[in-house]
Amino acid sequence: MSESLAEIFTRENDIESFRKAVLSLDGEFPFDGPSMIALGEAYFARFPEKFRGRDMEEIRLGYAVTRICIVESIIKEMDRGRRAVYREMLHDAGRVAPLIEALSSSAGVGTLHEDCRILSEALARTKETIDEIPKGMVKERFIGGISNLHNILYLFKMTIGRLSAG
Amino acid sequence: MSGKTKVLIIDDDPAICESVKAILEGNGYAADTALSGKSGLEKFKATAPDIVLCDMMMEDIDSGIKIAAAMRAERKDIPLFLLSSIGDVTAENIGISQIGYNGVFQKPVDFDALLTVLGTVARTFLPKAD
Repeated sequence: MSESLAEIFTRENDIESFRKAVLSLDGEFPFDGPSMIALGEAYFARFPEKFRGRDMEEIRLGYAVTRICIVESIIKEMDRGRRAVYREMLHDAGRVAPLIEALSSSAGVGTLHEDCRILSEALARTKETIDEIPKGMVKERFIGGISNLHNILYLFKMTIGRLSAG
Repeated sequence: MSGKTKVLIIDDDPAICESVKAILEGNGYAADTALSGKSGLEKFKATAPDIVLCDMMMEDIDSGIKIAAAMRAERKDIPLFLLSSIGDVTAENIGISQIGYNGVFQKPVDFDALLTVLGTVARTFLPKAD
């Protein structure tokens, strides 16, 4: 059994160390509802929520933490040779078009369609898990985290559509 | 920019701003972004957008309510849509129209639905482009 995401977050002092530690797990970590809640509680133990004058950097760090975990969880189902490309794409909306255009040249549009389906289904399963988290700020951070990945997959589909149309 | 419907996106998450902007621009809109309620209001006054998409929780947990009130005071007919990550709570506890919004989109946003609504707003309520 690997170390939990909450334990990693508590142990690591910054987001880059956390990211490296999570990436080293190669997607093999518990990521069910209780694991998400434990990670959220570890985050809020370090960065308590405020009603007024919220610290935007701390909030953005929360979204980043959830995104690192969600991305590693969903790309583990992808072809190993293309995981790095999809990891980069899912963390940067501005990179979608150039990365997918390059991948289209090497792997073909058909492969992109299949990859998009796999990623979309994996993200939908993660969303179902997040939906089961009780309402509150832990859920808010995960919704914020997954929302951008959902947006990026929409951009991915737009790009595939454009490439398919020639 | 000329002739395109201008959408201002206000969200404290730069990644969300960037991805929503890219989707809107890819669908023929001119999009601008702001990362806080304060900067959103400044851009609203400076750029006169046609439509505003706004997050609820930013520097304050109810920033979206304050922004809507301030924008309505400036332009009472501006189409305002809330991008909410607490949609269930919002729907149950807050009347969307009572806090100044024309509608709410729950995150993750269904962009097919959002683009349909924006298209309808642009065709129905905004001055015709050249």
